[in-house]
Amino acid sequence: MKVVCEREKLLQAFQVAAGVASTRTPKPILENIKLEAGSGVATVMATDLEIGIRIDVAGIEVEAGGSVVLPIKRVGGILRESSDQKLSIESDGSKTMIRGDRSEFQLPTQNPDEFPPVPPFSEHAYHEVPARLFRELVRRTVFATDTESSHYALGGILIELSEDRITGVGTDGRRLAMQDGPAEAVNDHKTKDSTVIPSKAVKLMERAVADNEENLQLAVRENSVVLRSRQTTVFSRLVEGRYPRWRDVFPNRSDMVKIEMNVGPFLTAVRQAAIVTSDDRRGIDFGFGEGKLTLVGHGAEMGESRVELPIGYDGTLLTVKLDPRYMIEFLQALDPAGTVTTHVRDAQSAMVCDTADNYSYVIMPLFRE
Amino acid sequence: MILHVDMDAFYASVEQRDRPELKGQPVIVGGTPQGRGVVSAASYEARRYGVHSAMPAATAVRLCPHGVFLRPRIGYYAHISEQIRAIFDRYTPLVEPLSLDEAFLDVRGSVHLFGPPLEIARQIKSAIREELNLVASVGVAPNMFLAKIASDLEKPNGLVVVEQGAEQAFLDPLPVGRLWGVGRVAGRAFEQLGIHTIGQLRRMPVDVLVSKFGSVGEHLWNLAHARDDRSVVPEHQAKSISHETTFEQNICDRQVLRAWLLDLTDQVSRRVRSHGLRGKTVQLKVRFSDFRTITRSQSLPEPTDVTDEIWEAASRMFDQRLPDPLPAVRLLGMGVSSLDQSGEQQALLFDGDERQRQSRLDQATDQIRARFGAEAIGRAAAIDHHRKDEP
Repeated sequence: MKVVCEREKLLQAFQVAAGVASTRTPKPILENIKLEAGSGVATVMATDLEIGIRIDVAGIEVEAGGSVVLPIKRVGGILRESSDQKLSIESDGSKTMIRGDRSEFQLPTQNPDEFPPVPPFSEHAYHEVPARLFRELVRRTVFATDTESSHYALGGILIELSEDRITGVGTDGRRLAMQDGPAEAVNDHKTKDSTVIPSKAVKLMERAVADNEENLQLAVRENSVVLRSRQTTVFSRLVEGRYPRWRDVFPNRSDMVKIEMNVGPFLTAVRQAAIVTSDDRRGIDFGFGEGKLTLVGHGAEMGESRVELPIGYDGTLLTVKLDPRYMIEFLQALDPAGTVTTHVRDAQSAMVCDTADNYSYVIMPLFRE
Repeated sequence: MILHVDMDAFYASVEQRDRPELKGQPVIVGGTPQGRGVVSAASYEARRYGVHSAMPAATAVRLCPHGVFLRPRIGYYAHISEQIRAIFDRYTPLVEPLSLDEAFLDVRGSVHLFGPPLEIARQIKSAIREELNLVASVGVAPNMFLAKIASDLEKPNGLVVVEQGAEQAFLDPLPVGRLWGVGRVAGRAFEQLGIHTIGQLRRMPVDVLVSKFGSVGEHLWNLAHARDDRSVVPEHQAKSISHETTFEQNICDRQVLRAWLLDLTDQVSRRVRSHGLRGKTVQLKVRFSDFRTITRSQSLPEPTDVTDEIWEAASRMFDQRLPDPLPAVRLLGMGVSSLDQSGEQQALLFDGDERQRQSRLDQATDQIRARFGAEAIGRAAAIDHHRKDEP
């Protein structure tokens, strides 16, 4: 195999793929990235057997097709440290040569046939998902997941695909984030029971989407999921286990008090109030009423905080004690110039926040016995 | 001065007290006459035959064929333990219970009210005898380690005082096996080094002990110098609540150890609840016959006082994070730390009902145990180390 590549472009793809590869593995071949060069296309691949990634690399001239496995640490170092614009990579099966203008590296090589297959996207049924929506869905739900959970499969995002919708859910059992939007089924593709994509994989999928893309293809198989964007295909095993009945946690919002909030000022106020909380005393009282939101925090030995924010609700005071971290993470996922509607009932009930673009968030309160 | 109060053959004495016909008889609590299970406690009459706790019941039957084997009533013993505790509380707020039948008391602040430490020790002994009809041995010493040795020295019904300045004279002639944490196995290793008394151990170069026993060696060397700078920590100020048990004979059977662990978890969880605390971290401690000690800990998603949740973490560590195969174990301990007393609890989206049910179960169990001491309310799996033959 012999190729000449643009160093920057290969480095970029190489680094994304390196994020997938195992660093501690009983199979040393997985500490490599495979480069496959065909007629006019070159692809880098990495896998830890849970997640696999294929990235098509632009700007590669293929002089002789074939494949090679590149040790991540060494080759990553060469790509980073080199100042050449172009590098040639050549392998004869026993050693690999990387050459720049004034530099030359020779590396031992392993048999590329031993590298586990990372198959391309070849699904016949899938969903067309708008790229922008997919990225937003991931960003707005993945922070709420819980990789430590032992009872339920909460270590990833639950994806539900229907004929014309995609729904993503993330929860750790204390708060739950849900984003919904349009997506189109091709060849009757849909999800059956719980399809939970591990947090690590779904973050990788989010990063693999280029800024200007329009549609992604997402296909769910028996125990795995595969996503194709323009240059990248990511597959991942699904999280095993049962997902809880998440729809049941949304209370009936019709009899709750609705209060419109501006995201930016709300976030600032919660952050301020949270300064005095501690691990022992996490709670902040959110008091809505008489035209203002009053946030009160009591730290065990850290004093008190009291922050006010004008709101458009002047009914009777409703107070809910919440862990401010959950509110902060939610508000950070939103556009600070936007608005959010909070639904409040009483100190015992969950608080629900939602936005005009189908994003909902439920937070359970803190209580005293 | 520190007092160490240790109840004499506690479980067996409670049984003999409640059933006078057992007085003078070799009572063995735990295990069955058919020789199944493990002994939890033996009366002094039974000890004369060589029966002791953590001994396989089969051995006990062989040594003492006419022994009276009884089922343990842990809940009931815990109730009596609280009555004993109430007596301690009259003399000092600084009480650190080690288990149901022993506790440390720091009485330095009590001497103006109740007289010298020896007098306080006498008063506590007689209150336990008169009010509860039970016998305690008490050690009085300048530190916890010496007080513990002193209480054990003249059991039963002992009262031994180690005066300030007399520590070394007290320790030196004692056999090295008296040191906290030295069992038969290590005792044998010491004998190979020609060490029989604590005095001989004290005169050893510390590096020899370290190379032979690791950090435990240094610890023992310090103890031999009567150095122990721990202080009595009452439970409500404690950073952690824990409980451990040293087996007189090493245990290899995972199932038996697991049952002991459940017992320990049950006791620790109850103490956590009784102080209105919640813990976020669960620890496991295992010391093997070669003195290697390992600890494992795990954080819980939410602070808890629910026995079931604490047990889930403890048993998972026991099942998954210990060496396999498991070497012989001489000490098993567990504890709960990162204690939270804010009373704030995070409501849960999915398992709230289950959690509440478990909480109510614990409350009910605690109440039943306090009132009736009913052993029927124990956890089924915990009886494994007492009576393995029950269906």
